[in-house]
Amino acid sequence: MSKPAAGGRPGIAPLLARVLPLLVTLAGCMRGAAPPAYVAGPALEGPKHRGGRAVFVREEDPDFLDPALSYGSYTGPVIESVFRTLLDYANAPGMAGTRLVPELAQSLPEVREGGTLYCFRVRRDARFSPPLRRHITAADFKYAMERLYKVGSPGCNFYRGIVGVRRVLAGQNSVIPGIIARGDSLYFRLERPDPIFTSVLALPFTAPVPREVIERHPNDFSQHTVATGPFMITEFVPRRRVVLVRNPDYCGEPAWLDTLELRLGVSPLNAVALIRRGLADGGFFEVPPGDFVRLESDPYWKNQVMVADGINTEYLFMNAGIKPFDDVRVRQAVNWALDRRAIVKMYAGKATVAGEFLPPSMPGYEPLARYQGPDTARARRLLREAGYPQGVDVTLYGWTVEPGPRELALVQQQLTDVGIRVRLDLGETAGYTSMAENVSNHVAFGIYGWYADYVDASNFFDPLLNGHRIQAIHNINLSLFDDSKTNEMIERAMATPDDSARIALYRKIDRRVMDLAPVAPMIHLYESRLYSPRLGGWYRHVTRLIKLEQLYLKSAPREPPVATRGSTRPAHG
Amino acid sequence: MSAEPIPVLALDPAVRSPAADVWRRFAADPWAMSGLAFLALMLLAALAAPLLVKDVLHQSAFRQRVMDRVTVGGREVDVVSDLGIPIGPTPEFPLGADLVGRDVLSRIIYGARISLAISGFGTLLALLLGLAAGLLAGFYRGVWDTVISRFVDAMMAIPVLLLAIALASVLRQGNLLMMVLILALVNWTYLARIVRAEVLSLRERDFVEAARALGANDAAILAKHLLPNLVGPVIVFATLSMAGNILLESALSFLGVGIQPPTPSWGNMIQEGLPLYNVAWWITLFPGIAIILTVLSLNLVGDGVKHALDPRARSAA
Repeated sequence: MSKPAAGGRPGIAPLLARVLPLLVTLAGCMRGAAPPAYVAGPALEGPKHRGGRAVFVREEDPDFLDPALSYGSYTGPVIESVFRTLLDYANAPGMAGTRLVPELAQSLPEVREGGTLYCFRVRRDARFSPPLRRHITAADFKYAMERLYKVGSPGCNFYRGIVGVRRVLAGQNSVIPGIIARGDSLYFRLERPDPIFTSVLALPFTAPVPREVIERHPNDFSQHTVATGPFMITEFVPRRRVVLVRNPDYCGEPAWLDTLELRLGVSPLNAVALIRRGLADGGFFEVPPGDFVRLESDPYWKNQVMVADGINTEYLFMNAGIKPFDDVRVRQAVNWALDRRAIVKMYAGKATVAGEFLPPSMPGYEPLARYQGPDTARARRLLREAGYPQGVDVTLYGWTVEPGPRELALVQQQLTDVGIRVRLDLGETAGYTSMAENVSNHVAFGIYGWYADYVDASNFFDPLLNGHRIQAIHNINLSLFDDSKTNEMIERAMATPDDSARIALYRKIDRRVMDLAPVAPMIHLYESRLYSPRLGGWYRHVTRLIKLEQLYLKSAPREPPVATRGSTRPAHG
Repeated sequence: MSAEPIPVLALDPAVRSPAADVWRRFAADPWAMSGLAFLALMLLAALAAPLLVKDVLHQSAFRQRVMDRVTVGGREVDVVSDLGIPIGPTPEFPLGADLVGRDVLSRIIYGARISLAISGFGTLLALLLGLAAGLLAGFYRGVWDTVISRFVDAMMAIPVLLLAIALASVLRQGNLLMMVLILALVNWTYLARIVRAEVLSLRERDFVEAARALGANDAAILAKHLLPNLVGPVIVFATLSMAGNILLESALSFLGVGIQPPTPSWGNMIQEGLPLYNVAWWITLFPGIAIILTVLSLNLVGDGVKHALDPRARSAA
């Protein structure tokens, strides 16, 4: 900042001092990246190279490094590579990745008693990571699952079908009689058959944690993690880095990399520059639109950009218990006011307009194409009918991660056009979501996005719109939507073993949700990621986003490439 | 014997008032004059912003036009393409459009209002605080001087940007009055030091002694004898401080703790353009040029005023 020294002449020197670093940075960014020396794309033509260190980047800190508490989609891959549980999803792209495989269990469960008893055996070689290095027993799973209810985990309600969980949720008990641990044998007794129970068991919420470590560090397990997966966390410095190192005691296929460092505080813009200059290998960020356009037009780098269906819906939630959103007509007016095509442009076209809550690729998806506005006249009429002829003032909460501010500024104008005067209140994602998920904060209106944890529509309807799942903290039914008929339909669908009947029910639920409009779905997003040419093994896993343990460094090429000045093409590509 | 004609005393036309003399020297400096001309132009544009944007440019600084189409060279094009790239400089958008299809020129003009108003009033408030503190410390010395000087030292030990970010985070973000307050709070200490040093010297001069001997009280001495002698350094400080304030406001808005969108400020315009700086360069470049030219103009004017007030400084240099 310019400060005139007493009697001195600031002149041009301080100005130059300010401007020069900016110019140097810009020049550095505009200069062509060094020619890459590896075959483009996720696969390798030669043998995979075991070992080495890769660097990933991310703008914000992980929400938690505790499997009971973490539920952020960007933190997910880290959590899933460190905290493994009984089951996992197959290592395969596309729908083949939805197949469940045993992980810490010896085999897939034996289902008895008409589908109400699931029997597992824990692998004999399953061990906690150093320094604990002890065998994982069935009791560790039971302890971890009972702990969910002590810490108010966002995953609590996934397991309410287990006998005794409802009493625990009601605060009448702290142990779950429906989870029986005997040595290495683990049994789950359900109230009734549940066709998606194995899917929710595969979520990292059920990952075993050692009681002795938790009791020693009840409030900062994130700093004293004990891994059960292919990686273990050796360092976590908030705002700086998370260091993952291969877990020598992991009982499954070991990770290819020795070390994966996750650097925090790196904006997407800087992340792209770092990857292109060979200083990082990937990250958890959306490729900024400007870079996306340039990378896509580069014959080499376009192979390093991964664009994949996110099985995602980004939506505005409206708290049905708070004025003016307690009136369905106001919620519908919001839906009619939105011009979703404009929002798609903010994502550089990497999204589709959402006229329904379920995303494409989700079984049960039906293109309803509801509220394809903007229809300002209808929105204004609905507002008038709801008793707001002069319009209404609301605060819209959201995140600052790109393109959040632009997207919400767009929404702000679209709503203002129909008389809903919006004040924006934006914050860092982790802080904003924690605040919104705490019911006592009474957040009436905000943005939220949901990625599928497993490929069943209940993963969207049950946690996000079932009134029975509302909880005081870590509540993700942000609309506090509690419609008895919708609740009943969701629970009936979840208990329907026949796939086609269940899917038919999900379609009905989607139509009802769009009619009652507790949410305003905006877009179904396609994810875009950029990886360095030396990194192999990356692909978009349908539920795990990316399997970090499958990443490897490509072997160096036998012949050094001929560098072409200013070119971004590989000499041998 | 013829009487010698008595010479008639006449005023030398070369002798002018001190103010006219200062202006003559200032006007002789082409750099200072060009800076002043640019600032005058910017100020006029800022004052007439609504008129200029609506009636001359036929645009809006706030209306987003993501889904609009315009005719360029006889062909219809999107203001914002399907890939999210806004239209560049065209007759309808002389400096291009921003990421949500708003006219960059219109926003720069409105941004001038914000930047000039905040930095101007911030400087004014800093002047009031700095003058008061400097006069008290320099004139009364003793406890006043010790307390004020140590407080100023402590304030100056904190990095300015950090202090401003801390204040902006604690106070309400984006509020214009709060921004003025923040800029004043991080700036007044510099003037307090300058004024204190000047007053320490002035209070020992004969004219102050004479005023005291004639029965003038402290308030009269401060107001009638010391304050007028501080005009020079204060004007120099004001112009240079305004330049610093524009940069600081831009930096705070760029960092997201200053003026909040959709209100345009040059700093937040640059910040908003960053995601597409490599394909839509006009969004960041033109507000950047506006900042550079305005700050440069203020520096040139400040420099010109300084040398006009003290011509010996230039010859010594």
